[in-house]
Amino acid sequence: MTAVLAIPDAELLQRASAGERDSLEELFVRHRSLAYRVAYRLLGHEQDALDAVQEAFVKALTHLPTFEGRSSFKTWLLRVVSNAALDLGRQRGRRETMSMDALGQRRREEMEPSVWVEPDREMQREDLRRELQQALDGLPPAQRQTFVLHVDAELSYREVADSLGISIGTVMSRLFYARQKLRAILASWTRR
Amino acid sequence: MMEPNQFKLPPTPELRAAYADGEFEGREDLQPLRREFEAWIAEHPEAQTELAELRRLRRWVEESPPPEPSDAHWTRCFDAIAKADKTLAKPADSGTKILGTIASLAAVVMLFLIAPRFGSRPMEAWATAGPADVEIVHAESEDLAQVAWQAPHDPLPLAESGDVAFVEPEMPRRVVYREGVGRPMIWALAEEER
Repeated sequence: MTAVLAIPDAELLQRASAGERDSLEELFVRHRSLAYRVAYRLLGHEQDALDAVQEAFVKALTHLPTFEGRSSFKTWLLRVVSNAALDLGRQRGRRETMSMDALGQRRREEMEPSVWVEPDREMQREDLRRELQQALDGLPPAQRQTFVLHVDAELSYREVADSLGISIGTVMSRLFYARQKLRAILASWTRR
Repeated sequence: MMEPNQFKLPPTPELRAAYADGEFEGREDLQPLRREFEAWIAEHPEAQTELAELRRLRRWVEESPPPEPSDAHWTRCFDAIAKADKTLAKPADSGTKILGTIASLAAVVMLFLIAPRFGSRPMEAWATAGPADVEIVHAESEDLAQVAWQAPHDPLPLAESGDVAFVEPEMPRRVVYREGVGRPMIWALAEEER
């Protein structure tokens, strides 16, 4: 695995499509967290997000010939992930943000504690995440997708536009309306 | 991300958001306009409040990341991807292919032999009909050989009961199925079922 660390995505893609499992794994490790974060924000559910990531990688590999290399693999993958997540959300119906908690202690034990934080701060963060997720769920899919790709995936306006096949003006417009709604919904949090 | 001529004062809300998003960063061609923009911001407290709110919203998103899946989750996820990716399937060597072909053929032959026994269960038992079972009940006109690709032949007389011959009536209780290749053209109920 160490041999593939410095290899660009494009080359890893070629190797993966030639059947090299290590290259595919390296690609997966490189992009899985961001892909998962995007999918989670769009679905609000851990297992659904993992399903979307899995489906997106499979789709991306299946449709590799359609990837023309005009954008980066990351940008292309995030488009596939976000579309897969929206499709999955439509199919399954979005679940309550709280559903992960309802799954009980078993799931929690499987989660890796990323960084130790004080309990109060962790509770506050959990509340904030829940509020944010509910607010995101209230957005139209196109605005949600654009917002998540820009803020969570940290794509520039240009990259979001390329990824979704829309103009920069549309990106700006969607972000503006998304933020207006989010600010209104999160206003209660601001007053705390 | 945007052209300099897109920038006009007072800036639109979308442009103010773009500024808060850092879209002016790294654009040398936008630096003069950026300075102009910042000067305008400095004179408009409500715009400063708005920018602060936009940045706070972004910070909230950044500070509340989704729960990270465990290594076990990731492993399962990758295994499923690798399994679905057909390019990773190792191509079979010629020996394996030959064995596979032989096994497939053997399976087909076995199915062919076994299927008649297990495939369809006889619904009823029938005996082969004898000459006495045949009765021609209706003879209203001459029969014509209707051959689609030829003109009709000469009229043919209708068959009568005596014209019917059974060439292999050795098995009076021969069991046949309603469906299948061996179904006789003429049959009758077994005696006990009449």
